[in-house]
This record gives sequence, C-alpha cells and structure tokens, in this order.
Amino acid sequence: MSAPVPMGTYVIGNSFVHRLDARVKIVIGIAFAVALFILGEWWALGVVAFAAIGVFVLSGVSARLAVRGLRPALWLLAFTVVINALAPAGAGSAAPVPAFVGIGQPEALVRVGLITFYPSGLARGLFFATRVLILVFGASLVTLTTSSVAIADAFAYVLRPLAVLRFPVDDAAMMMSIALRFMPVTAEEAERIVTAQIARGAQFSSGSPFRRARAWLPVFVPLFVRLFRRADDLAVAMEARCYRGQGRTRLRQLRMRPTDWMVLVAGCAAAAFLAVYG
Amino acid sequence: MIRFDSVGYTYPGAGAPALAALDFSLAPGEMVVLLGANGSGKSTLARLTNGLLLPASGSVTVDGASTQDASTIYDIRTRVGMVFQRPDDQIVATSVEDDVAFGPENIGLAPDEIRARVDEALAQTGLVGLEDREPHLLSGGQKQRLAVAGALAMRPRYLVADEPTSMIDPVGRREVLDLLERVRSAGYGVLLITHSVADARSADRVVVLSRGESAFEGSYVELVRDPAWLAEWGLEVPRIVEFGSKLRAQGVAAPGPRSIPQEMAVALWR
Ligand SMILES: Nc1ncnc2c1ncn2[C@@H]1O[C@H](COP(=O)(O)OP(=O)(O)O)[C@@H](O)[C@H]1O
Ligand SMILES: [Mg+2]
Repeated sequence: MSAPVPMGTYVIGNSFVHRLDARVKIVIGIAFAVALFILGEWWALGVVAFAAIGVFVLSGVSARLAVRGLRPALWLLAFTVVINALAPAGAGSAAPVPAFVGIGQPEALVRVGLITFYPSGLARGLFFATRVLILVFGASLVTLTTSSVAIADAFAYVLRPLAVLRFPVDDAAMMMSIALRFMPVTAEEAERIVTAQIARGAQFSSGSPFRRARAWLPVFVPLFVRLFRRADDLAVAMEARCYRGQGRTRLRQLRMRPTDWMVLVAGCAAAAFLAVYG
Repeated sequence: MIRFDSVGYTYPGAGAPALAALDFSLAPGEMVVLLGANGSGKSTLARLTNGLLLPASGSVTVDGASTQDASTIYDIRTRVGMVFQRPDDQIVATSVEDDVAFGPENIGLAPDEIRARVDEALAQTGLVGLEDREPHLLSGGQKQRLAVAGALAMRPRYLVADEPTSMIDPVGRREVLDLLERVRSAGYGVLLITHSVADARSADRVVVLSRGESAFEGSYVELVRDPAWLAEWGLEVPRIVEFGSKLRAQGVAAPGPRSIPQEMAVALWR
C-alpha cells in the first residue's frame, strides 16, 4: 500500500502535446471544463471523451499513469451515481436528462429491499459521473505532459488579466509554483509516514471504510505539522532571498508559435460549439 | 565587513536572551566557523546578519549599512547570501535553474542578466547539466549546493551557512564543505555554522557560542588543545584529534590536530 500519488506527475516526453505551449493547454482545458458543465447531451459528452482519449494517444503517456490519476475520484463518482439514482430526474432539476428518459412520464422503478431506484436518476448520475471523470482525466493529461515550471509560468500569465480586479496575481502565481514544488515532497513524506504506521500495525487496506479512514488520521496529523514547519522555514528562506511579492522579473519569456495559436483557436472553437449545440 | 557591536537579542516571550552583548565580525575572503551546542544562539546570530532578525541592543552593520535601516535592507540581503539547514525547505522553484533564478528575479533584474547569473552560479557549484531537474530528485548534497548557487546568483560578498551539512549524508557533506572552501578562496566571506568540531578544520578563525555568549575565539589548533573546554560548551572532541593526542601521550609521533584520517593513516604507516 502506498500513499496516494499526486495526480499526474510530469512524465518527460517530446510529443506534440508535450511541446504545446502550457498556456494553450490550460486555456483549452478551462474552455472544455466550462463546456462540459454546460452541455447536456450524451453525444456531446462522447465527443469530449473521444477528444480526450485522442490527446492521450498523441501524448504517448502510458495508460497506467493516465488511469492512476482517476483512481481517487472513482469512489466519489460511484457515490454520486447511487445518490442520484435515489430520486427521479425531475423537470425542475438543472440536471441534463438523456433523451431516452422521458421526463414526467411514469417510469419503471427498481426496488431493492426498502430502497427504490429511479432509472432516470441513475442516468442523470451516470451523466454527472462521466462528466467529472472526463474532467479529471483531462486535467491529469495536462499535468502529465507539462513540467511544473511550465505550469507555474503559464498560470502566472493566464491569471494576469485578473490584476485589473485587484486579484493578487503575483502571489497566486507564487503559491501555485510552491504548491507544485512541494507536492512530490509531501507525497514522499506521506509515504514514509504510512510505512512507519504499517510497521506499527496500522491497517490501510482492510477493515470497514470507517476503520480505514481512521487509519489515515495518524498520517495526516504529522504530515500537517511538518507542512506548517516547512512553510515557516520556506518563508524565512524566501525573505533572505529578497522576496517581497512584487516587482519580480522572470528568467523565462514565454513565446507562442504558430501551431500554438492554431491549436488554441481550434480548441476554443470546439469547446464553444459543444457548449452551444451539445 | 559584517560587524556585530555588542548585540543582544531576546525572542518575544522568551525568558533568557538568545544572544547577549556579542561582538563578532566577518570579512570578505575569510572563513569563520561558528560552533556551539543546540540552543546556543547560532541560528539567531545567522539571522541577525541579514536583517531577518533585528538586534534588540547594539548594532549589526554590513559594509557600513545598519540592518535596522529599512531603506538598505534588500541591498544587505543581496550582499549576505544565506543557506539553511533543511535542504528541502529552502528550495522554492520547481526546477534547478528556476530556483537559482529566484533571487535575481526578486530584485527585478532583466532576463538576460538573470540568465548570465544563473549559468555562472551553476558552474560555480558544479550543477551544470542539472538545469531542468526537479529539486526533489536531487541528492542531499546537490540540494545544498543548489541553495549555495541560489545565494551566489545574487553576487553577494558574504555567505552564511547555518548547519548546511547536518541533515545530509557524508558524501554530500564533503561536497558542501569543499564548495564552501572554494567559495572562500574565490574571495567571499564565509560563515559556516556547525556543531561538528571537525568541520572547523579549515577555518581561518573559530568562534564558539555558549548560552548566547562568545566563549572562544581563535584558531582550530587552539580550540582542540583542551578537550575539557569543548565538553563544557557541549561540543564533542573529534575522534581523530582524540586519537592523535592519545598516540602522542604514548610517545608516538602522530600528526597534528588539523590532519585528516588519510594523513593520519599515512603517518602511522610510516
Ligand atoms: N522563534 C523562537 N522563539 C522563542 N525562542 C526561540 C526561538 N528560536 C530560538 N529560540 C531560543 O533561542 C535560543 C537560541 O536558539 P538558536 O539561535 O536557534 O540556537 P542554535 O541555532 O544554536 O541551536 C534557544 O534557547 C532557543 O530555544
Ligand atoms: Mg540552529
């Protein structure tokens, strides 16, 4: 049993997807995320899923790594499906309902013991779950094919317009970069603590879900204590290196190539189309 | 010159002062090793050198500028580079070269200038070829050399290293100590803080802190002459020194306290 691997740690590569400007990946990612939440047709969902799988194939990332990022989300999604199935998809709900379930029409209910399941609710739950699954898959595709440096730089750039709204853009970019820097460090540390706990007889993968959840408590407490101490140390180290949150310049200047522009325009157009017609 | 004049410092809420009436100096081109037991005030002294802490009494000046003068504090921090104990908790960026660039970026240098400084600092610290490496994949010694590179990229005159070797493996420790000696030879003033007496072998001057006060100032040879002092300050006598003095007590002509194990072995073989 190992600690949860942070979603999509960068895998060095030189595919078309790897070389794409990180800003383009992030903007298209956001565009598709928005589209996913607007669209309400199964076919549109299918198109997005197909596109995501296409990008995955292009990237040459191993399937094992791509799927690993999905695992933590699966429990939550199964829960979503079951909860949704407990109520019919009503006309009043914002949930998109696949066409094959006639809204308002009497539907054949499925009873299991005392519990009644509604096929329309089940369909809605599946729709939600698929949507989130695609979203998580897409996000891990971005992080798998983009170095932390590129992501941090790109975020700093993409956030820049928000400065007009007095959003602390530089601070947010710095936080992003530090989060990316300490994700693997924290994961390693969690793994160390888990190993130590297993040596003391802790059970992470057997027993009731409640017991398993409780086994994680002695992992998270020391982990958080260490994180706070790290934060203190890091703040001092940053201060010693003249960090003051403003007036920073950057080593790297970002430059868009023609292909980056083309992909950006095509990707955003596709997302807009799906949002409007899907 | 970094100069402490009768500096006192007490942490808020602490009963006893962490430093009391301390005089201290560090000049460019010299390596001073600061020794002291845990809690003797070493880190407090380090943080006073670049204004991370401000003296409660007395004054700290760097090349004539007081650390209490807010208008020159960033100038002082560029002049005094600092390396800390925990390798992971002082690396900010997500790649080696970005971390070296962090300081120069903070003081708003132009990208070309940052590039030049990064390349220079990587060459000085032997990290060329690791530019794109993610910091968590480096060894302990490499991480501390990266921290040194980050400090050197600011083109400082002084380098203060607070127990840079206490959390890394022996190989990394050797790398870092060798690097600090090279840095000193290149003309920087180096303050190496440690609680390992053996690390003071190549110091130009050794200062021992005990309970916030300067208990000794002199050469390494003078320092290890009397093991009783060391014990009183909570320091351990290096094994090789102990071994040498025992041999000499037996009438064997063993080399002096500055010797390293290899030299000792060669001398005894003869
Ligand atoms: N943040 C703090 N708050 C209160 N007391 C502190 C703090 N940091 C250090 N001290 C105290 O100040 C003294 C000197 O600490 P320090 O300079 O860190 O010693 P050293 O680095 O030699 O181990 C110790 O007694 C320590 O407990
Ligand atoms: Mg200390």
